[in-house]
Amino acid sequence: MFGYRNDFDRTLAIMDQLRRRMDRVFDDVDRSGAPEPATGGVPPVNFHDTGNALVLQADLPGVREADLDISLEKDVLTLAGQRKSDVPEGYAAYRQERAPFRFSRSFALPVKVDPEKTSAVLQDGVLTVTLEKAPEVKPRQIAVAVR
Amino acid sequence: MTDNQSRSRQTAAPRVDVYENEKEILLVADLPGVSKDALTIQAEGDTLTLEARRSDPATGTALFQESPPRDFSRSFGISPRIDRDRIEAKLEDGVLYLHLPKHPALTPRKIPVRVG
Repeated sequence: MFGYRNDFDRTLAIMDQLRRRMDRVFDDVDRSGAPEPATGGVPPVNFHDTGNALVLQADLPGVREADLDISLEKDVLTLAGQRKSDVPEGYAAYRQERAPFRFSRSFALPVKVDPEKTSAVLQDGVLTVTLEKAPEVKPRQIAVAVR
Repeated sequence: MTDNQSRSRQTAAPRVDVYENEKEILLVADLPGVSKDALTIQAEGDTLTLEARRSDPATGTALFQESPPRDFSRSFGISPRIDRDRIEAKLEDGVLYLHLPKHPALTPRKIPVRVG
């Protein structure tokens, strides 16, 4: 058996030991439920029609307001943004399932919205964009006359 | 939470990063839609469990849905080397930072070697 002959080999040996030790310090024992599907950096979005408004919600954990750009042009809503790398300094990475990402997605809106009555809120890593429908496409209550 | 609600929701394992330095293990988890009050972290025996309830999506007619209503749950095995009394958690922008310090006695020390 050959010993480690130089510093480089020794460093590798230490890293190897560290990895083996970490496996015991921290291991998944049970993944309850299906793991989150990989999205390839494209944030998953839900789009709802609430009657008076269209509501778009996007999962954007770790994205800051300053790194987010939302625009509405005619009937197209565009979301663009990025999550910068948040790897802490001075740590060895043992497992990395989260990744920095950069995205841009456009949505053709199915109805006319009022550009003056839109709002966007970023809370707990979820962006909610509410687009109020233009008055002419809002549902109307029709009174039924009883004879 | 009633039985009915828990049955109708899916549970998913959140994506995590795990880092280590000489002082601690740092676990970073993506938990979009989870507020501080909806998150439970438990260290029991040799198991660390994260459980979180997501806020509900908007109501109305779904035009499309890529992020179904779901909760998060994931368990990890932790060794006795982790000091359970000093575990610290921070939730920021839907990302959990969980600091798991090692017992001070177990952080590496330099041992001087004398030549005999």
